Amino acid sequence: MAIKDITLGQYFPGESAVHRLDPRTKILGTFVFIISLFIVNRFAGFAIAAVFLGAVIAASRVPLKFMLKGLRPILFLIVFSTLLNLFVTTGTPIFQIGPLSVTEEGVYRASFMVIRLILLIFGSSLLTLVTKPITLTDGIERLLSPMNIVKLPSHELAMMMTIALRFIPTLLDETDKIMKAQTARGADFESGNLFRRAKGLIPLLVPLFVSAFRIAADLAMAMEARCYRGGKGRTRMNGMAFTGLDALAFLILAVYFGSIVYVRMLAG
Amino acid sequence: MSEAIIEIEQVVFSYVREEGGENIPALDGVDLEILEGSFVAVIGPNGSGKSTLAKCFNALLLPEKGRVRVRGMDTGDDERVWDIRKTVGMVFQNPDNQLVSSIVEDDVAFGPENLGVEPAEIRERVDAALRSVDMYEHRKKGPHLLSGGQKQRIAIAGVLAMESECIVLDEPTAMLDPSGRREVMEIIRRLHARGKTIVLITHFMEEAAQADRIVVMEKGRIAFDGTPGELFTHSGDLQDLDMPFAVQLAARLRKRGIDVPKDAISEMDLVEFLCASK
Amino acid sequence: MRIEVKGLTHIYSEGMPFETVALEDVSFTLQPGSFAGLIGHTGSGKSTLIQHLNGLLRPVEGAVIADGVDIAEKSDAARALRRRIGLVFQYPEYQLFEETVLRDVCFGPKNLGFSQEECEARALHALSLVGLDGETFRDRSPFGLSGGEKRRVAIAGVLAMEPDVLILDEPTAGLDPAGHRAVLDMVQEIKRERDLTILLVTHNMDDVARLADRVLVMEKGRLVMEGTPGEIFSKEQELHRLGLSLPQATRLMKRLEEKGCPVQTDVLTFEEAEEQIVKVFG
Repeated sequence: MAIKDITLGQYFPGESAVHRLDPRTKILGTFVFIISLFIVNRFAGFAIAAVFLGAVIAASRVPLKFMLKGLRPILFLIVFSTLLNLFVTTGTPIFQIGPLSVTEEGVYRASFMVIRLILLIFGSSLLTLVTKPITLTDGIERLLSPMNIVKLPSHELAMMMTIALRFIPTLLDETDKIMKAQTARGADFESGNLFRRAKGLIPLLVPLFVSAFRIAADLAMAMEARCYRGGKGRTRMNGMAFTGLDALAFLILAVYFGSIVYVRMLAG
Repeated sequence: MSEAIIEIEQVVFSYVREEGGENIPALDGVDLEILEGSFVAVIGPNGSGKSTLAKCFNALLLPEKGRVRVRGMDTGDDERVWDIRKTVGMVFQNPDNQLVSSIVEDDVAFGPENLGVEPAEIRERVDAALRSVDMYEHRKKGPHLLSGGQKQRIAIAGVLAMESECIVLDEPTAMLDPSGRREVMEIIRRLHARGKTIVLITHFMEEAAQADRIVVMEKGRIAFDGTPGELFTHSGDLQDLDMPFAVQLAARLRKRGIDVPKDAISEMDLVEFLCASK
Repeated sequence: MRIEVKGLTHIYSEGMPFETVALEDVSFTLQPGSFAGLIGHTGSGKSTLIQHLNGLLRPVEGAVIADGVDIAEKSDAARALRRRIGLVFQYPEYQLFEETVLRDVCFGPKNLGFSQEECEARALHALSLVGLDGETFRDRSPFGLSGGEKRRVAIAGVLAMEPDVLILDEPTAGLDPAGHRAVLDMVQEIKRERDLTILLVTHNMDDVARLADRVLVMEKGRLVMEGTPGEIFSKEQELHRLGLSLPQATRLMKRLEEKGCPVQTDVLTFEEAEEQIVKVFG
């Protein structure tokens, strides 16, 4: 069924310049952007970051609606940290609400944190919106492969991610089937207090785990039958090559990062 | 004289059972030879040892006693395991649990990638393999969107991309609906016609009947080894075997006085004989 | 129990861009004590339909009426009726989860609110119905059983709820010929003993011809044919168009008829084929 297709990493299909970038460029770019947000120490810096991000979002042609969806899970966090910063920061009070006072510094801190948080979320969710999960995995594998020297098993990590991605729809299906079978036997997954509901999950979780182990055993055998023996000596059908577009992206990234650092260094 | 691709000598294999701890041999002294280019079906009820036998062909299981050789290579030889698995490819019963990647063509590429084949050649092999199983148009899709029969065809393509000489299929149609079964059997016949050696493990007699040779397993031993025709005219001291409908009917008709010849083993044979006699 | 399905319609993801009509205006009646076969190409809506019959899914339009009550209602009466409709899914052994066989089979009755003794009594009876000796199997782990045994335990789990109607979705899937026969023999036996109404979803036309007194044929969410096995299997062209085959006996007769032999083709089973042929050619 179609639901499986959208929930997977919320990829938004497209052919924009941003979509076409090498996944390594996008991953590194996201990293650089996140780091830059922590270098910023005044609102001017955020202004630059916002302009940069806005331009990338526009270039990717992903509708703003999707970007805003990424904020939903952390809405609570935003509100909470805003309130915390508003009331806890000491300094020159602006107004009082009973024993709690809202200070000038508090307002400054709160808005600073919120803007950073929002830019952070937008920046990182953009990565998964313009890159397919499997491409992302490949990108991570290639970026980590130099780490093989220090015994980091980049290939094995990437393989685990690929397999996990591959089996998410299968496991979702399994969950659905098991829930239906147990419901047909009178199981109730909906009512009751937290404890009761947790206990009620056993008829779902046990068969699900058993299924997952069975899948794993079958898959391991099939992989061995196809001569899988880890990353050693393995080639890849899909090469990954940087193009002129990536070079341009790196240039823009460098200019952006440079300006962030410059603004930070400015006195006052 | 055809050469043997797989030679099985006096193989004994037991699974260690947890509850009870009794060691019942799954294979109890099996001798078998699979000749290149042949299409052999291995049939038998559940527990007869046919799946265990299949896994001995490509060193997924190693015999307790006896020897399995693939093109002369002993499966017990650690150094040759990968060459053995390249020669003898395997397709499993569960269409879902043997596909590694979430993109069809990437999954077919998995085998050649493991073998260290050059990227450009992998691409050629993958495209050719997908075309051989009529799945080329689906190459960019996610496997979870495909039917059981289509997934099995992808699995077969994955083996073809490794350029294996011999393909062992372990109950490939057991979890498929009738149209999926037909699709897979058609591909199998096609591959055999092109020279691949096929070993089909199945419990469906209609499938086994399409092979050149049927090996019947019973309690870990070979109870019969011959052509389908020979099997169907064999007097029925093989337990639990479902003879094809036409064969059973022909036997009943003979008892009722209609002299259906012993070599009429298919529906077509029966129809032709009966109509000719009118 | 009598089940009437009236104008049943079901739409997945209604209102979204990928909305699919899974069932469209399906109507039929299952008479008490009948054995109906539900056939159709994969994707024709069989799975969706059976999930409506025991209330797992709610119709978008239309209703499922059991003994005069709409089972989708939120009343106690409707709930009581839903509980008497048993549904065995494909590969039911994948739902086993308890530490012992007895406890797993007791899961259903427990959820219905029976006492421990009543649950155990029902469970043991259900196990005997599926051919497993209660004393031998009760304390064994379901995960240590053979495939065939696991399936029987799973079916016992549904039988222990003592349904009046038993719906089975391809109960022989993945089984070898001996296992296949054993399960169907078991279903017939259970039907006789408990006087159940049975709905069997299957791809096997021979089973339908042999066991069912009524056949429902689905295509793309609609009920396109309905009748006795004799009526349905006489329509070879139509079935072929739907991607369905005939029972082997019927097919043989049709081939003989095509070649000009004067045989009757309303044959459904092996025995009937034998008799026809002896009559015409003997």
